[in-house]
Amino acid sequence: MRRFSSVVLTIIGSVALLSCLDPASDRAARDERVGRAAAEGTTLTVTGGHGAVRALGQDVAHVWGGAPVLDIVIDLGAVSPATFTLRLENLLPDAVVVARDENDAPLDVVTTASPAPTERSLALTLKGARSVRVHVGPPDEASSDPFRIIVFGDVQEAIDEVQDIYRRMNDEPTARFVVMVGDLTERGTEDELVRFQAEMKTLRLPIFTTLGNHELGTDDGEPYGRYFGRGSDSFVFHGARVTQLDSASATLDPQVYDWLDGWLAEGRGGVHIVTMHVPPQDPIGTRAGAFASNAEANLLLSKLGRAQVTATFYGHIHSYYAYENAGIPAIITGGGGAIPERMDTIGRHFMAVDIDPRTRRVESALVPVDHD
Amino acid sequence: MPVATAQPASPAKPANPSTAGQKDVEETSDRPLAVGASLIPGALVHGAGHFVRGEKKTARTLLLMEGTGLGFVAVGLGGLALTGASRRVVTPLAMTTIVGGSLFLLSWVADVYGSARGAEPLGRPGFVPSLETSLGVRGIYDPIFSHRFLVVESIDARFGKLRLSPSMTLAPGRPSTRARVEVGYRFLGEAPEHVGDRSRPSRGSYLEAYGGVTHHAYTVDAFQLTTFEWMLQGRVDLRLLGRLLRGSFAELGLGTGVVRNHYDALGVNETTTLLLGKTAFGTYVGDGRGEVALVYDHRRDGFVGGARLPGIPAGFLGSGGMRAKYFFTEELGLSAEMLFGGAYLGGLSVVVRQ
Repeated sequence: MRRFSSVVLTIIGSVALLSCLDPASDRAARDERVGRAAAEGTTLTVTGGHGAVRALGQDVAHVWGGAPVLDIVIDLGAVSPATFTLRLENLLPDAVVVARDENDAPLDVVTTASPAPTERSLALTLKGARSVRVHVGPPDEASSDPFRIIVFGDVQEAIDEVQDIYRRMNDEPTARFVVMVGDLTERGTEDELVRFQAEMKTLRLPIFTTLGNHELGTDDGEPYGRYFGRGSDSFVFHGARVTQLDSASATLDPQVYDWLDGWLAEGRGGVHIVTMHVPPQDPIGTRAGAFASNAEANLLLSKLGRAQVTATFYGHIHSYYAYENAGIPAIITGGGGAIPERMDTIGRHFMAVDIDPRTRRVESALVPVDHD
Repeated sequence: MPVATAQPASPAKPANPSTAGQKDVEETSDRPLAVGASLIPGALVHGAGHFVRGEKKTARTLLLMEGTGLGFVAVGLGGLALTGASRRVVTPLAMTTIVGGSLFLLSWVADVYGSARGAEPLGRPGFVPSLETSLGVRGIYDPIFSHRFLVVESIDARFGKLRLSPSMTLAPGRPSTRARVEVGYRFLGEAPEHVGDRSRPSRGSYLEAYGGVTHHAYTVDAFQLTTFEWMLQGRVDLRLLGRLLRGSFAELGLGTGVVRNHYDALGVNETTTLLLGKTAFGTYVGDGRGEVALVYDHRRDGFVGGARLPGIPAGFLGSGGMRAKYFFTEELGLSAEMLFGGAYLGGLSVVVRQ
């Protein structure tokens, strides 16, 4: 009986350990640190955490953009260098970079290299400035004109064929940027993330993304955070809000719910698009490709519905579904090439999403990549 | 004077093989070795523990059960991988995977149990009561919801082969109410009896189908879930597999459900579906006094939900844990449960049967 009891307790303990209640808590804590770095007396802050600081030195920095508009604050150490080299990746192709010192005086900004439409290397002439404020944004950032974005997800092991998708995306001349709903890679390794970013160089648009469950295959998604930035973030473009949530663990961390409450309040009354990788509900419920808890899924959807979110986009399921959740139009777009759902006649695809902030209209159309 | 002819003595009736207190195997010193074998290499070769204890036929049966389970899992998971979890075939493939996984786990746990078991089984099945009621409390921790205590009450009423089981769970701290009714029909198994009416040894095996309705209202969070479900479920006394498994049992249930999601402030109703699957391995305790079981439940509605797993396989598993029941008198007992899924839940209930 004692032996049986000890076996029972061991099994229960193992199941309990496996059933972790806060699998996303470390990632939420890392999100709070994204966009901040300090080295050799220099500190750099990307306001709002809307970018990953890839490297920082006394007179050099490398930032991967996580939003269409960036504000970067660079505080220099005791010795202000003559020139500061700033490498920016994942920018809007028409982004304009403006730099000012602590007295709001403009600084000279010279583009020294632009190896891709979304990348700039800049030389900032500091003239003794101790603090630099860099603003990156398109010329029409104050506009509320309609615009188009692209939404897609789930490339994973199909990285060798992703150029087919990017070529087709480049044929969307009015699209301003791409929102990706996770599963960039197969296991989230550094090599895979570097490869994904390298393949992006042929795309004329930046990709603002959240992570998927496959990025958790390496150190709970830690490499993803270093290369791409936050898993949960929210930004505004032309008056429309885009919120990306880290649901890679089939749940949201309690910290993310706190952030979400603020973003929902700020987005109320306007266009608010919410994206995440694992959908709260799978339209094919018996498949359970959704949140681990039905109750949590409905809690989240109830919040989104009461906040009048305009549209939701998800990945994780490698097909296309259009439905409603809590009355909000929902689209699953997992057509980035990962093992596809068979017998669905869909194939690889992405979504072209037209947004009109003035009329709060959001219209989505599937763009096929594979033509049978 | 007639000669009395001695009549041959009637052969002694064999003792009830599943009577607690009756040894059905000899005491042996190889139990530690058998338990070790059931873990390594037994985790991969189910039945290794029984083999060490000399129960070769049972060992082969458990190995066959493991192989069958792995075959089902291969068909299920392989099919899901090949079809990309196609909406057209996902339900039968997922059910196949659940059945296969259950057979795999049950054969292993049965081997561990049988390897560790002493000369006597821990217990034998009790009678099926005509009426059983329970009232209890549960502690619950869920990082998303703030309810911490639940009050649970339930009734099981049996009328021949029919079962009517209403239950209610209340979360007083954060208003949330779950009301449920099951109506079951027992195709195979013992008929219900009243306390004191027991006239024959009980067998625990049964086969039953039920239909149920659950309504769960989250008042503060402004949504309600109503689930309509059906399930075919059963229990098998594992004494059928071998003498070391006397007193133990295995359960399996499969079904589906339809969930109506209602959002109060929005006036919106939407429908989703639900795959139901559960399995358990347990042992009877005492002479019809009670039972203890390890359980897995694939459903993710309810207070516990599915497991929030770290890493890539997030969201695919349900909850697991333990349930137990023991009657200290003929009528009065206690039940306990511990579940681990998206929340931790545990607690006790007072149980009364008639």
